[in-house]
Amino acid sequence: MNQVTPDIIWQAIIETAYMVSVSLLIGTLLGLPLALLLVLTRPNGIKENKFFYAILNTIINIIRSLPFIILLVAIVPFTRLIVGKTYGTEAAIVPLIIYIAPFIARLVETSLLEVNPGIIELAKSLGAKPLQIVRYFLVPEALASIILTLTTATIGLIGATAMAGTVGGGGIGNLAISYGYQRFNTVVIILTVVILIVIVQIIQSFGNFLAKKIRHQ
Amino acid sequence: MIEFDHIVKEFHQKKKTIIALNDVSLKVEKGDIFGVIGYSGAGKSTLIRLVNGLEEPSSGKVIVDGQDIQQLKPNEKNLNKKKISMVFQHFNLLESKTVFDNVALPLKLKNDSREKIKEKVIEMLSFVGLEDKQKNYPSQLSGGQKQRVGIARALVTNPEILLCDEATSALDPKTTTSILQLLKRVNEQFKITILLITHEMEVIRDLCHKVAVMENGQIIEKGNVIDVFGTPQQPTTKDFVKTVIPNSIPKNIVENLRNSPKAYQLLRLKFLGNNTSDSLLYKINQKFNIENNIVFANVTELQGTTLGIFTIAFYTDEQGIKRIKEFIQSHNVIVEEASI
Repeated sequence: MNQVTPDIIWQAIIETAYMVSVSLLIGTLLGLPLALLLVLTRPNGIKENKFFYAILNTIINIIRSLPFIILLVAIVPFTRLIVGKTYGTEAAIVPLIIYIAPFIARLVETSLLEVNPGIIELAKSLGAKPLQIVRYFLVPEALASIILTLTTATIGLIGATAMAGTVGGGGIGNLAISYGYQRFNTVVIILTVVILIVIVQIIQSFGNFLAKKIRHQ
Repeated sequence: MIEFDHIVKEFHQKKKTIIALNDVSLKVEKGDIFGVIGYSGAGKSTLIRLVNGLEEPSSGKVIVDGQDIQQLKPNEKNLNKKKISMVFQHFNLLESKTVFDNVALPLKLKNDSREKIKEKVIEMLSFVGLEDKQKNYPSQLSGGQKQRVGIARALVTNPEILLCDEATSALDPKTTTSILQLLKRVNEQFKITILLITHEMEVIRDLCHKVAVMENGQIIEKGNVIDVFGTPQQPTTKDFVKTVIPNSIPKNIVENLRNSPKAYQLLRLKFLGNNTSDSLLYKINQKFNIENNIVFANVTELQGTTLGIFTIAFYTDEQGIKRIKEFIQSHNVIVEEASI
């Protein structure tokens, strides 16, 4: 089948949206607590724990070092364990989560570290407990920056889904590779690239808009 | 109320040890406004942070309200922090929250009811004159307004002690004056003990009852503001006093004195409080009949009283000046020999 129909394109968009949203959601649910743990346990942190911090930091660095395509193949047994298969959209979501969670953890850690140290000092002077510091001081002050971080993560995920075709994940990137690149169909390549540009633009603008609204500056 | 008892605080950096506080003892009485002044690095920031547990002493005791705060259990420490509020140099307001929510924050941490929070926050915002700014965000406020929010936030928990960490150092002189007036009202109206640190002598002059001067981690001079301003002993104290009370003779008068054909001796007289109105100069003239000339004069208002500084050139010899000096001293006026 050489012909790309609107149905096929629509199907690819849905697949990408599915993979990105599920892995973003679960990746964020994993990444945010990891980021908080990094910030709390780091040297001179609120709950300093050098040993825990060193381990967590190293694990995150190791996963972050792996190119997505390698990670995808390397964790196949784990993927089978989780979703019961190694092929298809769901099978692509598992490595996407493993890929994006440490990425989010690292970026959110940076956002949290950017919070004015005076705010932490204020919190301590008010006798706030560590969880209260996180809830009432750290997170509200870092929220705008965290939104931008998640925007970056979302766009990174869209890029990574292009490789999900390797395990039959489908999506727009896969469409560009299998219909456009491998069959020399320039029109399909251009079309998918335009679709990706539009999606990325929309996501980035939305992220900027949200961050600006939260920031009140 | 607050007592520092032989406090030593060391900071260990990679290879060297920095002694931030070196055997500091100090007592702040209930209801006082106590100012600690020093150049940056003198140790005053560390000192003030010992009171609310942001720093812990390496040795020595910090006693607040009769209790050694090192001996408190963790939950008592939190209670202790709630009696003590802090106002910061850079305000430390949450940019993501409205003025109302910033002031409400200490009460939210205590899980107070919504109604109670609202009532207390509005009371404090009207005390600092910002009730119309509740819904604004900090970025929409001026520096002085931000500090007013900081003060309202500090007062909302009904503290007994207010710690001010360079509270006016980021503000212009006019705003500084209004914030100092506000802090004075805080002390008078709510009977809150204030311990402040600053590097600006104006703050000490306009607000404090008592002052301690810090240098290299030690207190080099302390006492009532009027005494320390009147008779500073240490060079650093003299430098600080000079920034608000000049006592140097103007250049062109110095020039005239240098060219003077007659021999003269300079005396600096300091009148503290009521004896400013005593007609001492008239008495000197009557008694000694020695030609004299006022080469410098300054009168400063301090703590509701006055400090007058006069430098007078007497055209006489050393024997004559000695007698004049004794005469002045017998009138309870501080006198010292001065030079150009």
